[in-house]
Amino acid sequence: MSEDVKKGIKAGGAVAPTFVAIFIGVGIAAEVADLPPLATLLSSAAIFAAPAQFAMFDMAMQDYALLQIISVGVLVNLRFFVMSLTLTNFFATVPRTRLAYWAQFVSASSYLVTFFQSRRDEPMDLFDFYRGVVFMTYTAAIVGTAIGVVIGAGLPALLAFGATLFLPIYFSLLLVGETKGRYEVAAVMIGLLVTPPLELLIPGWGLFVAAIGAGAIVTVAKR
Amino acid sequence: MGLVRCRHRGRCDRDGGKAVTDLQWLFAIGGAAAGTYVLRAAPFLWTPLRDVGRRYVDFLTYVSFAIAAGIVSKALLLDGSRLVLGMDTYIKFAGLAVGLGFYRWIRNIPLALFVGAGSAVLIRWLVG
Repeated sequence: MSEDVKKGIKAGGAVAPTFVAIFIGVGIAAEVADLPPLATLLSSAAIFAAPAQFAMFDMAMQDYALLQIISVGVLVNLRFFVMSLTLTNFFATVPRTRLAYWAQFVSASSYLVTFFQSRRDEPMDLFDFYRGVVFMTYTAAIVGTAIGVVIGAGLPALLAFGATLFLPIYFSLLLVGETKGRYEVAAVMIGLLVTPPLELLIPGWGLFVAAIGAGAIVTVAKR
Repeated sequence: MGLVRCRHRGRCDRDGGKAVTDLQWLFAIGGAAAGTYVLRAAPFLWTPLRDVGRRYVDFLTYVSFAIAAGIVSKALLLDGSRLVLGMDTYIKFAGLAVGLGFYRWIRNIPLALFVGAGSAVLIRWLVG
């Protein structure tokens, strides 16, 4: 195992507790929707996107048509397209056959942790680093789902509360350390302030729309 | 729908069957997984999209910062798509402040992360 994979595993470890917590929620939601345990695990392994899974389980209980459930499951994940688009800049020399496999594991965390690593003046193989992050986040997702299915809502509330804090605190620390210049600060401020109200207006889409808007506004302002 | 008897009372359709059968679930999961994979893999595998990534690197950088910031404010203020302003919110902000303060002092992200999250858990335990 290369040193860069190990660094990725270490960085991925910081977000793993939040992943476990979120996917415990997925396991519980699937149980409520009467999904068989193996299918629940399969959904986390194959879709690997908690918001889409929550939306699908919810729709299934409300008697939506199967194609509607699938369409929403895919559309909620539109953000991955932009994330992969960003990652192409870091993985330009990686063979496509390898990318075809590792693309499956793109998530907000694996992408952002790799993105922030790319900004450091540390020579490294970013693809190896990404693979290390993926190892932690994907494992955490599967473990979390299994816990959710097995113990359901029996997880101690204090533990569940603590686990959900790792992701926001970790990304805050990365933002404080990596944000440079007024344009990046502007993008961060727009993301911070606009995402919650937009998420209330268009549930499931607020984060994506706010980020695209912030990117467009700041790029235009810079030009 | 409703071809299979459901396991839980209150989670069934009017006829006492499952709202979605196991086979239908497999189809739904397979469909969503395939669609999501296309979104994830297309930029890596289709050359014109790779060029788009290179051409709009500034835009994508700002989008990345905004996504990270949005994840933070969403996690602090929202529960799913519902605004939550209660004791837990204040405790989350306190944990975040402790983590950031600790980071300014010690410049170690993993340590600041655990101190921030740990202090929030401690406060919540004390508050009850």
